Amino acid sequence: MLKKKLLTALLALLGFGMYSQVGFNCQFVPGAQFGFVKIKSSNAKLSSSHGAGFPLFMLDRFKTKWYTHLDMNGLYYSVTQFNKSNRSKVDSSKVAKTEGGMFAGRLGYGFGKSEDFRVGPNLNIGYTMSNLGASIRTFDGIANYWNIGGGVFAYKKINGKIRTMAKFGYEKFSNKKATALITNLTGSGIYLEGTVAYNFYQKYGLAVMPAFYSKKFKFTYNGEATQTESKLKSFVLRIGFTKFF
Amino acid sequence: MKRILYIGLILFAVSFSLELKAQSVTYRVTKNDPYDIKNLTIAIDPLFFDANGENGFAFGWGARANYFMGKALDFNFDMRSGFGTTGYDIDNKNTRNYFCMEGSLGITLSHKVRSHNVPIILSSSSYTSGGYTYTTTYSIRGGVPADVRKVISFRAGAYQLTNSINLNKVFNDSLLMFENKETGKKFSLKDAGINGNDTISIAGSDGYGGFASTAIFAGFNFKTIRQLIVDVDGWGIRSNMAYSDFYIDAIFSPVVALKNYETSTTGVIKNTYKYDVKYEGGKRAIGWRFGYVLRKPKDQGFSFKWELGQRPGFKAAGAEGKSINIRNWYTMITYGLYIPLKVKPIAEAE
Repeated sequence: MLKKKLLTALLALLGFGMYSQVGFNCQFVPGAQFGFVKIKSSNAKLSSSHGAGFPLFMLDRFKTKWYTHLDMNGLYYSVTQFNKSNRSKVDSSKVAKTEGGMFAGRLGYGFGKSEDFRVGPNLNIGYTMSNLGASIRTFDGIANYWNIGGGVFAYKKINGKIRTMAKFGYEKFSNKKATALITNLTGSGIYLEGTVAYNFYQKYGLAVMPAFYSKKFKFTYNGEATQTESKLKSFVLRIGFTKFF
Repeated sequence: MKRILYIGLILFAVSFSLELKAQSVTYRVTKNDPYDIKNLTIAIDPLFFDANGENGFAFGWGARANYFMGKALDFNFDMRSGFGTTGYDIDNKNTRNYFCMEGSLGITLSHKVRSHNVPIILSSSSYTSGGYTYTTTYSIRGGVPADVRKVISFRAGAYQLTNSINLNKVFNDSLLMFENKETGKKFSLKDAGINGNDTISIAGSDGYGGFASTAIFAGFNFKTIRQLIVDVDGWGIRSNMAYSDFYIDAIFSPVVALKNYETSTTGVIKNTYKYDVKYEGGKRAIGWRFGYVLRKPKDQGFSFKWELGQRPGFKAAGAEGKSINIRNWYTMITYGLYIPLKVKPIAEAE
C-alpha cells in the first residue's frame, strides 16, 4: 500500500515536472513584421494596398494549460510614427499602415496530458484598429472598433528544439462611431495564425508567426445614404523572441 | 471611559488575530543564493520616455546591456533613439531627433554578503470605496532571513546626446546670436529683421533648433542582489528576488553646441541662407544625475530604468547666475524585455 502511494506521488511529481516543460512565450516586442494589408471597398476612394507596419507589440504565450495573447500592434505602430506624422512634406509615409490591436487579447485553455500536444478553445476580446479611410494618417481618424469572438488553438512540440502552435478564430466587429467619418460600423473576420519557435541558446530562441486575416466591414461613410462595404485581407510574417518553458 | 475600553479591546483583539496568523505560518527555504545569477543581460526597450526642459519630451525605443564580469568589473551600455521627439521635423534641417548613447565601466570597491530579513508577501488585495483604495497585505511577520549581496563600485563613462531645443523658451533672444556664413554679418535673434539684418522666423514649428552634447561622467554604483524562494505552508511558493543598481553620477560636458541654422525663401527663386548659431548667455558644463535599474537575478522578463538629473547645457533665459536651471532638468524612464545569459569571465580569480 505504501509502495503504491509512493509510486503515485512520484508519478504525480513527474507529471508536474513534465507540465512545467510544456509551452513557450513568444514575445514580438521587440519584433518585426513583413507583409501587406489590402482593402477593397465599394467606395473606390477607400480602397488601398500598402505594406504592413514594421514594428510590433504582441505577446503570445502558452504555458502548461493556459494560452494568453496580447495584441497592441496598432497602438505601438501609431506611437512609432509620431515623428513621421510631424512631417511638413506631403508623401506616402503619412499613410497609417496600421492593422492590429489597440488593446486586444485572447485567453484559452488547452486539453491534453502528454508533454507534446495540447488543443483547446480560446475567447477573444479587444479594441482594434484598421485604416479603412485609405489615405488617413496615423493619429488622424483611424477607424477603431470592438472585436469579440473565439477560436481554437493547438500546441505541438516537435522535438527538443522546435515548438509550434496553430490558431484559428472568428470575430465580430462593432462600433457606432469608428471615426468622425465612419459610423455604424459592423463586420466580422477570421484569422489563421501559426507559430514556429526554434531554440537557439539555453531556453531562448526565435519565433516566426505567419498570419492571415480576412475581414469584412459595413459602415456609413460621411453620412452617405448607401452603406459602404470594405473587405480587408492581410498576410504578415512576424519575427520575435521566444523562451521555452 | 467605556468607549475607550471597547476601542482598546477591539484593537487588542484585531492585533491578536493578526499575530495568530503570523505565528501559524511555517515555511521552508528552497533557495537562498544571490550568486546563482545571469551576469549578462541584453535588453531591447520598445518604449522610453524622457521629459526635459529643452523640448518638453521625447519618446522612442532603446537597447541596453549589462555585464557583471566576475566580481570586479561592471560594464553598462545604453542607447535610446526617439520616434516621437517634440519639435523634431525630419524635413527641417534645423531640428535634431533625440538620440542618446552611453557606455560605462564600474570597478568594484566593496563586495559583501550580509544576511537581512526581507519581506515575503503572502497575499495582497485591494478595494476602492469612497474614492479611497484600501489594500490588505499579508506577509510573513518580521520577514525571512536572506543572503544579500551588496556591491559598491566606482563607475565612469561617456555619453553623446542630441535633441531638439525650443529656441523661443530656452534662450534669451538678445543673447542668441546668428552669423550669416556668407556675409559674416552677426546679429541677435531680437534684432533679426530690423536694422537691415536677415529675417529669422522661429514661429511655430520653426521655433525649434537642434543641439548636441558630449559628456563624461563618474560616480558610484550600489548593486544589490538577492534571490530567496520559500515554500510557505498553506500559501505555496513565494519569493523575494531582485537584481538592482542604484547609481549617482557627476557629469562634465566639454561640448555643448547648437546646430547651425538654415532658412529658405519661398517663391520662384529660392534662396537658402546658412547661419552659425551661438548663445552668449553661457553654458553650464557640470551636471549630475541618479538612477535606478531593476531586473530579476536569473529569470528572463522585463526590466526598467529610471533616471533624474540636471544635464550640462545652456544657461537658459532667466536662469543666468542661478544654480537651478529648470531647462537642464530631466527625468527618463525606460522599460523593456531583457534576455539574461551566463557568460564566464575572461579571467577569474582562484
